[in-house]
Amino acid sequence: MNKESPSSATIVAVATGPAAGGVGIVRLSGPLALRAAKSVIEKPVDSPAPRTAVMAAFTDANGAVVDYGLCIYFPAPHSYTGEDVVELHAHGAPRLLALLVSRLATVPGVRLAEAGEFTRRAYMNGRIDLARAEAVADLVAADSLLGLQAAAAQLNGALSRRVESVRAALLALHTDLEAALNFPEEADDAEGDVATRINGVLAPVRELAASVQQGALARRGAKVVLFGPVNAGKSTLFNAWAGDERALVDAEPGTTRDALEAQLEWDGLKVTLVDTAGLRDSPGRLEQRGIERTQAALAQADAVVLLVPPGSHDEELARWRSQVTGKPLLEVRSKADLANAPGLAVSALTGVGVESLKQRVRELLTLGVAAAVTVSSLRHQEALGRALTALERALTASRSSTLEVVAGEVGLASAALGEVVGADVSTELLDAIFEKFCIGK
Amino acid sequence: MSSLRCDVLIVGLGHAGCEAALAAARMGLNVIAVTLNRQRSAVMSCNPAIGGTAKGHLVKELDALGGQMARAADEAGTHFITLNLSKGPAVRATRVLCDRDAYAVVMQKQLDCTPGLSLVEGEVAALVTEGGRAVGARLADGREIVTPAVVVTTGTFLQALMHVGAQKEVGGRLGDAAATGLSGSLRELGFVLGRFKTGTPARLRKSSIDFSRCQKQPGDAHPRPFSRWTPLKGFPQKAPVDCYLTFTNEATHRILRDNLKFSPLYQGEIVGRGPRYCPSVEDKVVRFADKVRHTVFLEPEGPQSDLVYPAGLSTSLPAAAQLAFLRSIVGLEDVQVERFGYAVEYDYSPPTQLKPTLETQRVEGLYFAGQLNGTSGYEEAAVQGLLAGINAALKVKGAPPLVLGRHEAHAAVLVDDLVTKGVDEPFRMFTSRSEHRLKLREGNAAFRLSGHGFRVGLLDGPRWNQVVRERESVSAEVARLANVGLLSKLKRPEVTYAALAGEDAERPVLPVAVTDEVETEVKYAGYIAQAEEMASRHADAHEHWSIPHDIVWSSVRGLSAEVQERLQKSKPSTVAQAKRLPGMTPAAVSLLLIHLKRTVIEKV
Repeated sequence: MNKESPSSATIVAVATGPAAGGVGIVRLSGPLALRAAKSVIEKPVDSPAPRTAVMAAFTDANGAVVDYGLCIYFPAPHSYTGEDVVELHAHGAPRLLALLVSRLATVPGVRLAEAGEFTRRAYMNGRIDLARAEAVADLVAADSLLGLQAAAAQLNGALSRRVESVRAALLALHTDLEAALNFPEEADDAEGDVATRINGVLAPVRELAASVQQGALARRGAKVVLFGPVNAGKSTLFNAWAGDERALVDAEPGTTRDALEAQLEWDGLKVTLVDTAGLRDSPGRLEQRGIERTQAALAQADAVVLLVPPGSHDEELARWRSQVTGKPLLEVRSKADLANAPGLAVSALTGVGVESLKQRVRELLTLGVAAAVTVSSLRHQEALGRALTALERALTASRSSTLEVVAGEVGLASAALGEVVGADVSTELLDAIFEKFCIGK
Repeated sequence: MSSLRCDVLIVGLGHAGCEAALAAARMGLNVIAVTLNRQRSAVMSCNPAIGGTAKGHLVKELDALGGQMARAADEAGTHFITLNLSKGPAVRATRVLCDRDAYAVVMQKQLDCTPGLSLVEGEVAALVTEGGRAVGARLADGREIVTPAVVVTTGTFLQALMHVGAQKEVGGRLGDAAATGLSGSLRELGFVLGRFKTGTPARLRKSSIDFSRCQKQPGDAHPRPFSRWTPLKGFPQKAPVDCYLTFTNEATHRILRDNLKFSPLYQGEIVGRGPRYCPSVEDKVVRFADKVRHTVFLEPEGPQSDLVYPAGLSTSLPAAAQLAFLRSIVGLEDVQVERFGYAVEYDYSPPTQLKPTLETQRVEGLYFAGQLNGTSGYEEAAVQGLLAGINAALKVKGAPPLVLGRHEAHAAVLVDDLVTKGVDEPFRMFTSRSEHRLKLREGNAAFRLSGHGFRVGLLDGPRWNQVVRERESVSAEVARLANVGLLSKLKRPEVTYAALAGEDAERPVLPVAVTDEVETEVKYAGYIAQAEEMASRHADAHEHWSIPHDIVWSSVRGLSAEVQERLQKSKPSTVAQAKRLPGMTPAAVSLLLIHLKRTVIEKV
């Protein structure tokens, strides 16, 4: 009984320390390690040679390459944990590693590793001795003293209040659904208009999921990408913006010949401003290398500013817009000194609108969330993400399936939110039902 | 003094005891069942119905394993309904109103005609143990029974005390004595006992009720049997009855409030905690003061019976107050009361003292089942009785025990919640307690469990084959639909299996049970996969590891004192159970696993 059976979950975590370093390692362990790893690698090798470093291009959810690194496959039992292990060696940027881990953790059958879990598995499978395991055990114990309950304390007050208020609304909905299912003679139709009620909870959960992400941004810094046709005046804006900043740290040509990066600090928020200069035509006709670079920059962006010159056609605009998916996008008319354009407009030459643009970008990045979410932010983010997808499925089910399916999905969402604050949702549910409904034949 | 011998001794013949006795005897063992009064075995002490949400699921599971309750309900049933018909196949539940007297007679007949089972009238006053093992029992009259296995199913009868207003009477049910000696014996063996209360309403004379002023609630027009083994020929056996609805009103509530001061509960006479889902009517009026009316379900106790059970009106107020509030209700203006309602307080044994087999941790060969374990309801009791009876029999035979997984039965969720988390009020089953609800349907109970019933020797070969064939025809039909390209169409929410008949020329003729299951399996596959993925996210390959009974929790390195204390108290017997304890973090589980692995190595 000393082997992890093949039924055990595959786990993933960043194996290197939290600080940004030259190289960051993401480690997967478990039966799905290789399959999951392949899902974040562009054109992966079908069956990589064991214990051999293979070049790999890591991709984001849209398939865009975000980094180049190495992939090493250690088949069981000759690995750290004794299970199938895959290590992805990428550049040590925390946000990049976080992106890879959260992508991997959404593969069905894969989840984030618990504290000390790799070492525990290594010990269980006889890969390390007791002394090492117990050293880890003490570490884990010290960690658990603060405990999962402390995860709640790690959320800042404002955010945890928001989680609790969404949880209350979700619990009320779940209560009515389960009352209707469990007590049809006493609480029939208690659920009311389910789709409307789910929508009511969905909005704040969506906001919450976004804000935890933004909270993490405040810690690791944000990337703002300037994007648009070459004649839009991006460089002028970039220079005005970068030059204006007293806190200017660095402005030098980026790693690519034709992109500029500047490290800025806006009211305590670290911002990397990226100019994707050099795009001479509409995006459909760009040279291949240019597309890749721009897409890489866009993939890593936390916010994108699309700068369009006056007189651009709607069609043209739509093409540029279609390049940016799943990112907060701000459209700005440039050269406001030359033409009267509707909406947000700037003129880098005269300085008109630059300050308000900066303000808008900042709002876009932080959504008004001030403080960062610490250590377990990735875990919180993952749980909130699960809550969100469960609610989205609940909404679909409310139109196309049975009440029990809707209730099940709402229950999964409620449990996921409960994980964030460390609450026992099952007891709460029964308490709430008996509190609200007079049950009893 | 004479001494009797048997393989398995059953103490008490309520719903748990009957199932335990029948199961052990059907598994080929010599069984003695001791009861205070054999004429009162299998009596429905409270409402005359079997089933309902989650309870119907338990009975279907019991039936699939080879238990008796569903078959007895079919024979005595007078009003069959399916609840939650439109809310989904997993919460759909059967409820059968029975002819109260007929139910007990049917079950007693079964007890009488089962080979290997003998009934003994008497009171078990003490259990006899030797070196931590059960070896027999002593009756109050001095007789002794020698046995290696005892299943105690004493229900509400341990130190039972009934309350009607300020009047108190010793007894577990109106007209029946209490069991007074056994509590002391259990305490001497080191068991902790707690106190719960429950209640029941008055019984009304049918001839004194004006049903024309109430809402009629007929049963299903085409009732389906509860048990899959009940022959359709001659079903239903009993003439149907109709139920009726009426409501309390402001006058009722005023009378209840005025008489609260006479309630033993509000006077602090009752110390035991009662169930929140089955409050007395005076409790409802206090806790839900803004509700202008409460529903009363008038349930006739049989086609020939002149008694009606008013569900929803459980009370322990004095008789005069009961009569006054009853007569304020529409339809009951001239009601005559046959017996007044009462509350009963009784000893229960906190179920955290049990293993998942329902064997006690303290005494080998001793099993507890039913209301004694702090549960409520006939169905919860019966399914525990069945499992305890099966496990006692398996133990005597030297065979491995039957412990069902949470993913395969609501009955397993019930037992696991009991022995892992314990109870702080009488425990009733709800489908929402199961994280695998979509999979645990009444409709697939046999597919899930009949294999176990066959394996332990409770279900005969022909019945098991019938289940296997049905399972095969479900799978074959799903495969055929895939072949003819109709599977994805059936997955669509608005498309039913029946509606596809027109474009499905080669469709075979199949029983409704099969096509229902085909439709559900196809439509739910995605949702079930989703729910299972979530449920297994934190599943651990080591969940089945057993924890030695003599583990010293303080020696598990790194565990906090709080967690140690909790583990000490609930004595989980597997890693999976330990994991489900409140406050058990993944880190604590890691520490436990490392400790277990280490101690195993040291022992080798």
